[in-house]
Amino acid sequence: MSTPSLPEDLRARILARAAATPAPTRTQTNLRLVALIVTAAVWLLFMALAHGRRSDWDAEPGWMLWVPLLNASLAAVVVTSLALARGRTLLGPRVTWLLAAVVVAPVLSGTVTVASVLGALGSSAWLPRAMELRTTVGCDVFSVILALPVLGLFLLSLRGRTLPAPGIVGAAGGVCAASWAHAVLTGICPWNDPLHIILGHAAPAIPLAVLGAWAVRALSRRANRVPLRG
Amino acid sequence: MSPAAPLASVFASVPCRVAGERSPHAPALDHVLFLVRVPAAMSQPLELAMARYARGDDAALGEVYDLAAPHLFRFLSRLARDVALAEDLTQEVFLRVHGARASYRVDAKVLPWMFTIGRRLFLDSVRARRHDGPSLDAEDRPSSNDAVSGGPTPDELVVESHLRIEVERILATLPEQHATAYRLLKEENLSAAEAAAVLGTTENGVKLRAHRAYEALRRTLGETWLGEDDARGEPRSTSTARMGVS
Repeated sequence: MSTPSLPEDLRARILARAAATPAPTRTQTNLRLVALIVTAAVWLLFMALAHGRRSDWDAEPGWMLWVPLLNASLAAVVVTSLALARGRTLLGPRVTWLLAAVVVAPVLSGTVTVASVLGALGSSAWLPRAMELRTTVGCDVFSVILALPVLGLFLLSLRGRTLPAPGIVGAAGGVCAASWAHAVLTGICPWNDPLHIILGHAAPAIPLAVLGAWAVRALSRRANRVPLRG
Repeated sequence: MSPAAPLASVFASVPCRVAGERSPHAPALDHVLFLVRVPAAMSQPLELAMARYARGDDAALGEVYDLAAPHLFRFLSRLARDVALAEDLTQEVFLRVHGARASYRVDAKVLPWMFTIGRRLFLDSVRARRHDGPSLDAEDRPSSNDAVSGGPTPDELVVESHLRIEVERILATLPEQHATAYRLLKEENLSAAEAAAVLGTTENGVKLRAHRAYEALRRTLGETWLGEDDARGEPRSTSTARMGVS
């Protein structure tokens, strides 16, 4: 018994179908990705400008605002780059890198923001519990509203790609969207309570990561379905 | 053929991996080779053909097929254990590669990319039609490794054929990730990094899965095959050695 041989007509069928199916050029592929990134940037800028900068922008020390803003933006750029990268293998970055980004990015963003606030304001940063809960839920909702279109654009950017670990890439996409939302929130939300920052700005990364993982897995299964014979 | 194809074919014949070393074509290529660093993957004919195809040379797809399809079809046949499904998957993999050819990087290995697409297509297809499941016709069940060299004797071929059936039977009982990790490392000779990329896991993860498959094979085969050799005090059979079971 030997390994089944290649069907003789398979080569001709593949060449014929490939010839009949136009493939996007490198320029088209790059332009599409740039268009998606620009759309996401326009959406985030529009929401930030529509809301206006935080009311304490001029009152607080500059570094308390710029350090967490730059850190959140840097984390978002790193996660976005990792989530969209194809790498040398064409299969995306190593799983360990993606997992590290999924865990580290929101933790680092939240920690740096809290540390900046506590460093600048000390114990006066803590708010009464009732106010904290109301504002925190508001920021959670706003964060998800900011992030969902970014996550949708991320899913569009994956069209045509076959991912070895779709769940992890999807989680990275969710964290990428949450990181951008966190960066925008850092510039527009004046509440400096550490618990508010953790629960209202950084924590939405968890449900968004779960949503991203579920969405990419579901889309992957749908796109990769090959009719089984028999 | 694209204008760059002749240069690529010359590069293929250059025996060195790093540009700048001497070769039979060195006098004519010196001015290029001193400027261009040839990636390691580009020294392979499949990667060269894929690079030409990615640059728009449509005729190179046939060459890519000739070089990659036997490996891909063998991998998918063993994974799916269904010749008809493996044929469909092979066709679909090439169409996906065709659709994504613009994103091919000249230093990327082609086979791990194709294996990943094929495996993902297989898993998602089976999950989508879980109730149907992949059929396993005894006549179609893949068996011996066709990459055998060294002129085995007819007796060895018979032993190997039986052993291959037994190996496939045991692998079929293992978790898919364990069996695929074993196949990628032992049968397709991928590196741990390449196999990890195909499976979407870490290098340690793929080694651990392959080791578990290996241990299962060793445990089961040892009772019926290796044990006989050991009992007679004979050296391990060349067939088992060729199949990566020691």
